[in-house]
Amino acid sequence: MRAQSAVNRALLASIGTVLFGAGLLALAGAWDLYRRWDLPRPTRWLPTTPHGALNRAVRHGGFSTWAWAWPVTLTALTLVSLLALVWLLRQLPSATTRKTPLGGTVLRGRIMMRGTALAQAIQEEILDVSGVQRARVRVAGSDSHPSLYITVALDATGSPREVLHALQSGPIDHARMATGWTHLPVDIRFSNSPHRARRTH
Amino acid sequence: MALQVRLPYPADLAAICTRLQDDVALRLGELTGLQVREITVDIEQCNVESTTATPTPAVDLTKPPPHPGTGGTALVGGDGSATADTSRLPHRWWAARRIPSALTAGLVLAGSLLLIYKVVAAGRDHPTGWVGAAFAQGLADRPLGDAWVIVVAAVCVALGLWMIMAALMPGGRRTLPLRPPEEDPALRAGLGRAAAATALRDAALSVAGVTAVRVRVRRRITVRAITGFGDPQRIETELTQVLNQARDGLGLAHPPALTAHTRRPS
Repeated sequence: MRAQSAVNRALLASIGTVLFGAGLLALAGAWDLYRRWDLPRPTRWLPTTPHGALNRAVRHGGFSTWAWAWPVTLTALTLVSLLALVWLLRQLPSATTRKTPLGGTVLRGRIMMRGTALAQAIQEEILDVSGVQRARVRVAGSDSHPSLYITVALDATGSPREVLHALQSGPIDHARMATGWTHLPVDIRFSNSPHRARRTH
Repeated sequence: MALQVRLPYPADLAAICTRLQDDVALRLGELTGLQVREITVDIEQCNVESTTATPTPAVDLTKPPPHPGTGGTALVGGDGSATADTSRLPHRWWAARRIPSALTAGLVLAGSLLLIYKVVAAGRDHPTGWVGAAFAQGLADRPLGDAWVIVVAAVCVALGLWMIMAALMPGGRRTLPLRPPEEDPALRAGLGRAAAATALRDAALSVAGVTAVRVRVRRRITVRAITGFGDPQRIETELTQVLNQARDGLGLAHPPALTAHTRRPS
């Protein structure tokens, strides 16, 4: 998840920079800043005056006379659209882990655990903790590196500090002990069920 | 050979399964003389045995945890390790930026597909002058001084700025990181801002004389209380004390500063 954040942020920053730069170049040409401020022209095929159009500039440039221009352009565009599709699909919520091998040494064959079975067991344990009203547990991520995503809705008496302590020493500890994944990453979000303000006397 | 089993929980599942494999292999060898080389075990369900043990006496909530920078609570406990842990937790969990990324990826995908279509169509019709044909009747044909070009360029600048901001800012403002009681680098816990506000509202309403409360949790916590009867000085003191205690009881990694105002309806 942290790797995904880094990739997303790097791609956003680079695409944002390209868009920002292209927009600024067009605006500079539109307001005739090159002539007014005496700026150097960036390249020959970019229009730099309010009367210049991109198409005219490109047509007079050398690019379209190059024999390989058409296939190269198409290949580049296809590559970009494929990468964009992959990036888009990576943003979908990570799938629930189907089956994952338990930790420990394999002697006579693999021992597989179903992600849903583990999630349900953990959820039942969490619901037993006092102060918890609702809980949702997902075991998500790849089969070799699952992580645990927990959302807990506290009731009016539940204190996040107390419940977190109970979860840490109870359900989370049990899950790590039962599966043998001592460093199972856990992400817990606390919310509370909305309740009316009431006076306690 | 493959087994599908239901096991009790909590228990050391790997140990149980290893014993099961040994047992099955042994019995099978005794009964049939077959040597089983591999037995795969698939745990399809875990049955939680309701633990009779009462929930462990969690944390003593009457005693606020030691926090750096909360003034008076420094007296409470000299737990130096807890203070050191707190300084390592960030003020916010950095957001994954899924939605901006999905929108940007969709935009790039749509744009490049449109360009592919245009380039293919133009290349088929005009094998020599395809660049001009592909971009004809579009923005590229208009002079830069055209109003449409200026509007689109301005939108590009704004979108680009938004993307750069999304990439550089942490985000995730609505979740306040919690400090786990036991240090655990693989555990991340957060409390929603709204949940913190509700907890503080309930605490404020427990003060005698307070009739209505509005709590705002941002960079700092602002509490506006309307008081009914009673000595305003006493109510304010008591309110501040109760709120500070409630805030420290939440177990936040970095408890925001708190200001409380009281007002009497005129």
